Amino acid sequence: MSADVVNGLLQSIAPSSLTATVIGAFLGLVVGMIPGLTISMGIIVVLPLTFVLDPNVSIALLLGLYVAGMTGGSFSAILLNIPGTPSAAATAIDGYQLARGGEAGRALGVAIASSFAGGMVSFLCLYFVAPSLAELALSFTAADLFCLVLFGLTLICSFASRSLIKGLLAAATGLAIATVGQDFVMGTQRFTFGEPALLSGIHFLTALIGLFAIPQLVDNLRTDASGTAPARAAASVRSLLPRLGDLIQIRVPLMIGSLTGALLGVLPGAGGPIAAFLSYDYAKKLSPSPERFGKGAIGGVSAPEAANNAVAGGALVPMMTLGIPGDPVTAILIGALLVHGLAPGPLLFLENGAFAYGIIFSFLWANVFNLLIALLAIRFLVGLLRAPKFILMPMIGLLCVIGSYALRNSLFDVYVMFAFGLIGLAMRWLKVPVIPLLLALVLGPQFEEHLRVALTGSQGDIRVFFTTPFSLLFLCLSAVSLGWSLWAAGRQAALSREAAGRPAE
Amino acid sequence: MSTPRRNIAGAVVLLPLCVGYILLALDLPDRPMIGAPGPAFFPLTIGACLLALSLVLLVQGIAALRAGDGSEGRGGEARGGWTPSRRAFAVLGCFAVYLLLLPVAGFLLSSVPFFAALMHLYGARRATVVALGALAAPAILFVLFRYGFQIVPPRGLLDF
Repeated sequence: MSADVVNGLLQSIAPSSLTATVIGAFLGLVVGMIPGLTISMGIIVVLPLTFVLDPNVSIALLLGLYVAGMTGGSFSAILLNIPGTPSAAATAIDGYQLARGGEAGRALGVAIASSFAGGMVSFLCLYFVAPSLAELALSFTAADLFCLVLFGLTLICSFASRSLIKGLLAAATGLAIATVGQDFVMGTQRFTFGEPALLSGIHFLTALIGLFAIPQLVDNLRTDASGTAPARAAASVRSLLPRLGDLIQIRVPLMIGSLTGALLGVLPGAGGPIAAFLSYDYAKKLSPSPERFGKGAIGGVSAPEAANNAVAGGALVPMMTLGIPGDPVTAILIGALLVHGLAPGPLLFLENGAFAYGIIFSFLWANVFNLLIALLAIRFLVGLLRAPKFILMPMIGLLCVIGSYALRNSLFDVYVMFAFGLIGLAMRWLKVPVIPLLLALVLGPQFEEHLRVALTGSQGDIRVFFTTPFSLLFLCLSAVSLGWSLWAAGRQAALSREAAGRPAE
Repeated sequence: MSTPRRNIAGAVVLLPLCVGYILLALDLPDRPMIGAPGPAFFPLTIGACLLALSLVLLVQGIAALRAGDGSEGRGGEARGGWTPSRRAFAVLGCFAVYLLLLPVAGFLLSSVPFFAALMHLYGARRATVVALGALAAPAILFVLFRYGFQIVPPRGLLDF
């Protein structure tokens, strides 16, 4: 075991880090569970805290929230048939049926155990894959890195929207916004309109707060704040510990969910919902009694829950090794690291090895505390479903303002946050996904940097992108992801036409 | 409004923005080294992509409308997800007024009416609950951030 691994482990078990993980896990369960609050919103709420805490403590807090938020989403999905997070939508299918049949405790117990198992598989993936990938990434040239970021962006666009054009449009808008500020090569001011606050560009955390929180605040106006259903649901929770028979029954769905989640988590943009539904589908196909799925199959709870927690560890792999975020949460983690002068990427393991391993071990503890808190405090947590929205939502509104202000002590950032909120609403109206825009905003500066460095090195010759095996591989993968997306859209359109034509026949 | 109509509206807004972005990028002082791309290179490339994508969105929208996909009407609205409501505009209006008040009145003073207005919009009806919440929540956050995390929230003209 290397010194970095030992130091990372020691760093992760420091009292401050463990306390932060526990607090993060508790908050994560709360925000994941309450419909209308998302993990991203939870992270936005604690974001100002991370500016003043040590980086290892900040990351422990955020990881606790990230991991537990995934599990928390299943509570309301099972008890109320309202997924707390998009990833928990697949869990609701069978979980709610079990709860209706008086087996809410059994469903919750299986969901918690499966989340833990999924998290542990993705921890192993993170522990063994991330350092090797970082080592490999050190040999990448600027052209390779440009093609890699291009691949990440095309993948995000393909996954994020049913319309590839809208995904690409969102990503291109994000890249355009990322050009605001001082040009990093020559120091030229671009699109700053003489405003000093724009010299350092638009901080993606400010944009993220606006893009996610404001539309969510507006969305929450539509749902009622009645607490009667949660109260009934809370009363139905009894024994939580899964029975041995259940554990034997869920072993295959658990493996399917964990492996699918860890694998899909590594791909930028794929995210929890896709992994959850895909593993639900596989678990159903491989089940000896597929007819039970949709009517209260325990495997239908286990597979998606294992998958969405496994996604968390998988998403940390490209974030830590390549600096490519897979979802908004890992984008925030990158922001939290950058605020402390730590740049995620292959050099993180080389220059701050102990810190990098500290992140990996904090992820492990986040899963452990998620399991413990969820099992021990479930009754109290379910009671929180009754928290009135007329307190929660205005509080989040205030925290959005403080969060965006605290980033650089600038009111200008608060206005930028609000402007992005309006952009987010407009995008929602147009059904354009916001995730490609956000991730393009994160990746934009390095995308441009790698492009310009590669072209400068080759004296403007674009053949530089076709000469190394890595750049060729990433370009081919980009083409495949775009081609696959176009093929899927064409197939969907053909099926729709067929369905529309059938009644006439 | 149906999806194709929304796409056309989006493209119509985006097209002049793209053209404006490209014109601004063309104005950037270009000081390229030999064979190296200057500061305008990337914005121009992205601007061209944006323009092309906006045109595709416009063409797609018009084609779908001609093919008769634009007749979703009210049913389409229900399936299409978010549509602005009066209360949504009220929340956004509250935010706008709050942000205007913030540099003048400071965090604490401007947050009280903002919080009260939002509480009302989210369903709080009892005046005592609204008053208590609107006074307590901003004060708790102010103390927490100012003295707990050493983050000074925006101060107004009264330096408060």
